[in-house]
Amino acid sequence: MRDRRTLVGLVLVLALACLSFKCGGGQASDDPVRKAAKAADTIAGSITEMIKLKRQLAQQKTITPDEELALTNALLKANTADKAFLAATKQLRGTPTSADKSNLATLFSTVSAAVNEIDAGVLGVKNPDAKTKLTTILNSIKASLAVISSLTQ
Amino acid sequence: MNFVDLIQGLLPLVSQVVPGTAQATLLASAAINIIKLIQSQSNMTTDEILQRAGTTLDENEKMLIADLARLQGGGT
Repeated sequence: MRDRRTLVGLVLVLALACLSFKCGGGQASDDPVRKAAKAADTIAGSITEMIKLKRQLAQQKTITPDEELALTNALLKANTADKAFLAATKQLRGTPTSADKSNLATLFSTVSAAVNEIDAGVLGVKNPDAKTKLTTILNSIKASLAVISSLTQ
Repeated sequence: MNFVDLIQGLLPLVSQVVPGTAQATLLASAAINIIKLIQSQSNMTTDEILQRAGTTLDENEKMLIADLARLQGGGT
């Protein structure tokens, strides 16, 4: 049973990676603002799914209230950081200038630090199945971070 | 109906018919929602994507603040 769940997780990670980078409709040709918008939107949607998953795992008592609290705090930080990144993205027009890139890099480091906190929260979850599920969703956020990182260089 | 919609439609049925798959379908539902979100971006303008992301982040914030109140208030 556990092998089956691991397999499902692996297939989903591959599908998400495929959609995020190559197979989702020619992202390589997207302009930087559109890439940033897509990344911010994907992170927002992934946070939604992680909130729903976290709630269900807590309801099933698969994660403890302390574990859920740590995840909730980390998710709120990431959500706030993504909001700031989104606000900066809305200000962008055309190819980002070096000042834009510098601003995005600062905001990116905030989002990245917040995602690391989610990672720490997930690592703190004792139930291995719950940890696997949360990690799978977290990986879609990390894939979006990689897109944002490429925009700040 | 595309492949992702088909899988999504079958998930509730699978969890009822195949014993022990409820946990796996929980994760699959979450992943399918993210895949559909990424797919939908290709049919949207950049402004529409930005607007949706803002709305989603606002809704997330409300859910997370409600969760914090529940957890810090000692409720379940």
